[in-house]
Formats: sequence, structure tokens, C-alpha cells
Amino acid sequence: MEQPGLAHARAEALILDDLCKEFEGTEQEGVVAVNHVSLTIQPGEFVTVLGPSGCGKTTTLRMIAGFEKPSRGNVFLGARKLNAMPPDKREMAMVFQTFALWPHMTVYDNVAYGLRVRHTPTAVIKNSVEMVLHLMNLVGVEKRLPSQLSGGQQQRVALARALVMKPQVLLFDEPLSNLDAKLRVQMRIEIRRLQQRLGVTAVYVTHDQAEAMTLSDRIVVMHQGRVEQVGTPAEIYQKPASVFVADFIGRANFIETRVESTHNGTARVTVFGRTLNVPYAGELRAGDEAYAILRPEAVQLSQTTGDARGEIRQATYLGSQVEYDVETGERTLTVIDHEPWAGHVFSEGTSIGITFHEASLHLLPRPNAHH
Amino acid sequence: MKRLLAFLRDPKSMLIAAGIVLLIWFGVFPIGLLVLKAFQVKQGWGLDNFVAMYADASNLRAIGVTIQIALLTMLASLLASIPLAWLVARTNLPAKGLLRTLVVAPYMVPPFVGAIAWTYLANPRVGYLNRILRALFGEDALTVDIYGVGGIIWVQAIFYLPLSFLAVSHALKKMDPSLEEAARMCGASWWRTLRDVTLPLMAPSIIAGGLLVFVAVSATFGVPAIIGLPAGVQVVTTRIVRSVYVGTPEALRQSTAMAVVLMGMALAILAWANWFTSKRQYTTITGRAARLQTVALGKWQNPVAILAFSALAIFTLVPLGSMLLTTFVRTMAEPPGLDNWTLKNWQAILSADKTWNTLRVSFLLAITTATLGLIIGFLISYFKVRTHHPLRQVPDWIITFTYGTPGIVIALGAIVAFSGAFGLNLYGTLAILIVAYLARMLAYAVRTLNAALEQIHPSLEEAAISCGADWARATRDVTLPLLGPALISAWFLVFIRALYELTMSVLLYSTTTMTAGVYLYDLESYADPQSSAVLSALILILVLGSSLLMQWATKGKVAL
Repeated sequence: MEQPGLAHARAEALILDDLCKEFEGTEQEGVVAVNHVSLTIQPGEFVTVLGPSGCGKTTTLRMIAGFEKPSRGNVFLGARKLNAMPPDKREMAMVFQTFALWPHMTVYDNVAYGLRVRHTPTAVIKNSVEMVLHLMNLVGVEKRLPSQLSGGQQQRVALARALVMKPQVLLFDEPLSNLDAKLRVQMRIEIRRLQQRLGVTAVYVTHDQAEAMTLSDRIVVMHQGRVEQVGTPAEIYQKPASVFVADFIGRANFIETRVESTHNGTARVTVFGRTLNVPYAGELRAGDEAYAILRPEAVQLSQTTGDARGEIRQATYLGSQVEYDVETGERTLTVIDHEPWAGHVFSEGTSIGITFHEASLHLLPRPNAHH
Repeated sequence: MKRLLAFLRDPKSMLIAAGIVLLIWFGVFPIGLLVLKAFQVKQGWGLDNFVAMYADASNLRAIGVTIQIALLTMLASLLASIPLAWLVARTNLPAKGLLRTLVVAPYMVPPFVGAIAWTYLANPRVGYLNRILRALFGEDALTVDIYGVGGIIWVQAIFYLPLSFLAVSHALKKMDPSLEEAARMCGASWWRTLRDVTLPLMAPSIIAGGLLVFVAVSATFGVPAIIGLPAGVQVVTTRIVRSVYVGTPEALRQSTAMAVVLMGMALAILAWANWFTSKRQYTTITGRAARLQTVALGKWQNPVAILAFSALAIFTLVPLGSMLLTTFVRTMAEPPGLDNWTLKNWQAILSADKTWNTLRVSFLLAITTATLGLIIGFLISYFKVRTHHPLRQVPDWIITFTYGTPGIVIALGAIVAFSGAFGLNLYGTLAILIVAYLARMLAYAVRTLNAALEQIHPSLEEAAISCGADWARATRDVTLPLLGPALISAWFLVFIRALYELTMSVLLYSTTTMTAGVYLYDLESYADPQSSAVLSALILILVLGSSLLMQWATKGKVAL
């Protein structure tokens, strides 16, 4: 069923232009929390800002919301510059990590609050609140206080309170981190479904890569205040732009190699005795030291054949997969077999052949390799 | 029977049982005895004492005035502390740290010294403020008269302001900032956020802070005695002290009944406030580093700052300054000036034996009370926080009860219980003062230590024990050093309060155990303004010096 009543009338791009944030006069004095972040988010797009704690993702979100003032740079919504605009005028809504439901107000009052602030007629408020409560499966708990709700219900109320405002941009500050694992998976599907249905622009901050992967149209990976990479989940995983991204997203084997020549975005390298043309990111020239990124699931183990041989040092059985540490003489390789039922679970000490999927390889410059 | 024997053989049980017996004997028994006395009539039990007390119109008036003063003081201090706490916590007001210090500073000034200081400013005849007004507007100028109900409220609102301010600030700081941010995201302005979210969430803390002021003010003796009595205003405490001085059995019975009424009111209010705040504990610490939003005051920034700073300076620094000025005035009949300037007041007070004797008594009492308080307080706190003994909470309950009981009630109870009728005669000794001080002040030490001990994970102590240390050794080597600053501040918190105690001392002192506070009250009653100014200044210097010492010794971690 369509819910045209909850979509925002306007559709404008959210533009971050060279945003910087340096905290002054606090314990964090001199720390550059956000460093030259530029990004254009299209109307209706779901963008996740992903990074480890302290990478500046929350500060970036708070600058979009208006809770922090950029030290430098601008936030635009369409053609309007938002820098000096207080948070209450920005036509955005936010879902907080702690839910931030007002404990002295009922569910209904929490959701209706924003509309009341806007002096919406009572009848319209009633309609909108009922619609959004229905949408969020919250019918029947309107009169309860937040403390009388389960964690999942509180999360829904927080989302309902944001949606009822028909915001142009919906901001999420790690909204699922206070829920247990099962609920988290369920809510993340629901959030994506709602966002698609309403067509609202969403900016979602998280440190959980599974959330980022499943929710996003695009992911922004941040590290130490800087944007490391912007891309679709597949791009981020398959073609990481930096060693940090390759290491942070998923798991990776970093295989040292040397570039023999480059041609048209690919570089010629030798990995486990096979000489291949591998696509790369960044700048690479012949003779440069490089890392070949090999994902653990792109390696296959076989007792008979292989590009190289190694020995199983450790086998960790996890049910849905088996993880191996394979010693090849030069290095220890992490290998993940996602189909432990299909073949054989190798025991520790087994001599083994290693094959890898050529297409999965990706090349990155090795930091500090050339002095 | 076996379990009882095992219980008795456990050293911890022995210690805790002995502690509870002592606390009951010195803390609960005198108060309980006083309550019993209030219901004791010539033959058996009854309400005769209360009936007689209520029959006396001046008693009723005293109770009415006490409630009126406490209520208005509470409202005044809340009205001032809510905006002040908000300004300090949530705006970009310049020099907020200094503003906070100015608000909290009166906490270190004994309230009766504050009252005396105000009399130099606003005595209708010789007060400097009135001299200035007359000089400006002639003889029929408006007279500001500090003496009376209004003056009591005025002075107490200023000197009890820190109590409500600290409660409100604490609530403001503890609040989860995203609750406010959520309101901003819903389109509410900062003002609406304050009105719809911040204030309602803080209401329990605000009410509790206000009630704390109410109870403290209704039980205090110094300020109403100094500012009320000259105008014929009697409150419950001053009336009780007077009937004890008069000493007739009838007067004593009535004041016992009045003391029980005062105690009932205080304990009921504290119990309700405690229940109310624990039931409605909205605010939470999220542990996230998110900082609270501050409101930019814009063009109001400077006017508001000037208003707040000058008000606080005028309300506390100017009266204390006039007090200091008075110490150098030769005669109060003349305005202060170069030809009316003398050092004789200081010489007289500093060369009088009585000054040094009373100061020695006060110091002796303060040091003994603080040291005993620290030792007993540590044991109580340790048992409560660290053991699983079934009785571990009981000592804490007892001292919370005695802490909530008005000082005047404790002092009356001590007189009744320890004047020989029950095998122990402490009357007129330092011991009776120490017992009464401890009953009122142990709670300060215990609360400080409870908070600190809860921060130290028990595994640190267990690690020492697993290394072969016994309990005493582990406590000495691990727990006590980690408690360091808390121990120091617990000692000083009791020391400072004992140094300027007046309400209980006024009933319990004898000629050999007169405290500096009582001596000051005496001087004030004999209408010797210059001498009392000097002694007030001395006491103030000692108290301020002690709190500076405390801040230095705890490396600034503990400030009032």
C-alpha cells in the first residue's frame, strides 16, 4: 500500500562541501574530528557513513543535523546553505542511538510532539500519528510510557517520531546498536523497506559493516576524520581504495608483490607463481611495491592441485563456514570455506594445495614501501 | 541455634553488631527517648504535652513562621538557582567557571556569619546601606531593615542557594543530551525544548533540591536567632533554645513536643523526597562523549553576565566586605572613615583568653569529630559497599536517620539521654558535643566514601588478597591509597561543619566547652558589633582556609 502522506514534498540533494571540524576549548582541543569531507547525497539515496569509533562519522552527522558548527566548509540542502540554520529549522529528523524517547510523555505524545510544535491542527495530528503508528506496527501502545515498551518497540517509536515529520532527510546515529542481534537484523530490513517506500534521503552512521552493506545505496568509509572511499557496497568490498578500507571491510590477505608493468588501469604482478593483470586503485608504476588483496573466501583448498602448496596450521569450525590458517612458507594465509558440507574439513597439519580466483584480486600501493 | 552461634563467631558479624549497638546507643536512643518524653505525661502516656504546646499561641506562631520562612526561602533559592544553573550549564555566558564559584562560595560561609555580615549592611540605624541611602536622599529616605522575617528569608536564600543550585546543576549535567536534541530535530526552539523537555525531566531533582533547602532552613538556629530575635520573630529552634535556657519543666515539656513536631516534619519530607526522586529517575548517563548543546545568548550575553555577576557580588561579597570594614571601625555611631579607624577591635579580640579558649575548643571538637567520623564512616561504608552481610545496610540507615533529624532535636535528646539518668553523664563535657556532632555529620563522610568505594572495583582488593595479603593488609595497601582524595575530603567535610557548628552547640556547651560559634553568638547578643565582626572574620578565615586546604590536598578533585 502506498503511503503518500509521509513523503516529503521537495526532493533536494544534500551537499557537504569541504566540511571540517576542529574542537576548540575542550579536552579534545586541537583534534581535527572531521577533515575536508565533501559529498553529494542524491534525493532518495541511502548513504551510510561507516568507520571505527572516533573516525568523525558522528561529528559529520551532527554537523548535518546542526548540532555542531563546521569549523570550515558548508552544508547545503539543494541551493540553501544550512550552516547558520538551527537544527529545528532544517527539515531533517534524527533517530538517536539511545532512542531519546521522552520518558515523561506517552508514545502518542512523543510521536505527536513535532507536529504540535508546528501548530498542526489537532485532527491532522491525530491522522498523521495514527498512520505512522500503524505503519510502524505500534497500534495499541499509544498510551504507554516509553519505559513500558520493549527495546524493539522503543526503536519503532523513535523511528515513528522521525517519520511523522515528513523530513527531507532522515538521519540515523547508530540506531540499532542498543538492540540485540536478532532484532537488529529485523529492524535493518524494516528501515531499508521504509526508506525505499517513502523515498526519503537517509544518512546513516554506523560502525557495523553488515548494517552498512545491507542498507546502503552508497557507503562512505571514514578514518581519522577523512573520507577513505565512497562507493556502492560491492565497490567498497571488491575494489577498496586503500589498505585501511580493505582491512576494515571484511577480511583480507595482504600479499606483498612488485609491479612489473602497468597498462590501462591494470598492473602486471606475480601472485603464487601466476603472473596476472590485476586492476588497481591509487597510483602504481612499474617497480612499485604493492599489496594484492585476496579475500579469504576467494581461495580454494584442494589436496591434489594448486598454484602453491601449504600446510593447515589451524582449522576453526564455525558451522556455516570453516576458517583455516594456511602456512605457505612465506606467509600465513587466511582461508574461509563457506561450504564445509560440500567437501572435506581438513585437519590441522594437512599438506594442501591453494588455488585462487583470479577475478577476485585487487591491487593497492603499499604504504611506506618506497622510501 | 547453630546458625546463631556461627553468626556470633564470625568476626565481621561481631564488628557490625558492635557498631550497630553503638550507633543505636548514641544515635537512635537519645532521639527515641525524646520522642517518648514528648508523649509522657504525669500518669502514663498521652498527648497532653502537644495539647499544651498548641494551646500557647506563641508556639503556634513560631511553627507557622518557621514553615513560612522555610517555604519562601525554598522558593526564592529555586527561582534563583534554576536560571543560574542553566546559565552555567547550557549557555555561552563568559566566565562560567567563575560564576559557578561565586554561586557555590556561600556554601563555605557559615550562615550565621552571613547573617551578621548583612546586619552591618542593613541595620536600620547604623547599616552602611542605610547610611548611604540617607546621605543620598535625606533623613526620610527608604530604610532597608534586615531584622525580621523578610531578612531571614533574604539571608538564608543567599546562603542556602548552593544547596539547590548543586541539585539542579547535577540534574542538568546528568541529562542525556539526545533527549534535548530529539526535541530540536522535531522543530522545537531551544526555549520550547527547555520548557517541554528539560524542565519536566529535571522536575524531580528540582523538587528534591528545594526540599533539602526547606528542611535545612527549618532546622537552623543561627540566622533566625541573629536576624529574627531583635525584631521579636521566634521560630521553632529559637523557641526551643529559649525554653531550655529558661529551664522550667513546663517549658521543657512544650519544647520537647515542638522538637518532635519539627523532627516529624523534616523526616517525613526527606523520606518523601527520597521516594519521589527514586521513583521518577528519568535522567540517565549515556556514557557517550556527546556534549550538551549550549545556547548562544547573542546580544544578551553581556547584559546577562553583568547582571548575574553583580547580583552575586552584591549579595555575598559586599556584606562580607562590610563585615571586614566594621572590624576596623572605632565607633558605630559614626560612619567609617579615616578618623574613625582603629586596630583596637582586633587587638581586643586577639588578646582575649576567651577567644583562644573557644577557638581551641572548636578546633579540638572539629578534629576529633572529623577523625572519628572518618574511621567510623569508613567502616560503615566498607560494610555497606563491600560485604554481603545481611545487616550491612543497617548502620547506613541509622546515620541517614540521624542526619535527617534536626540538630536541635539531637541536642535535646543528648541532654535527656546522657545527663546521668541512664548511667552515663556527659553533660557539660566535650564528649556530648562530639556525640551530637557525629550523629549529624557522619553522613557526610559516609556518602563521600560510599561514592568513592563504589568506583573501586572489588577485584583490585581481591587481587591483593590472592597475592597473600590479609584483609587489613589489602585495605592498607590497595583500598585506602585508592580512596586517597575521598578520605581527605570526607575528613574536611566533617571538620569544616564541626568548626562552625552552632545549633547544637548552643544547647550543649558549658563554660569550659564554649565553642567559637557560641562565643560569637554571645557577642552578637550583647550588641558588640565590632567584636563580633572580628570574631566572624576570624571564623570565616579559618573555614575558608580549611576548604582551600582541602582543595589543595585533594589536588582540586574535590571542591565544594
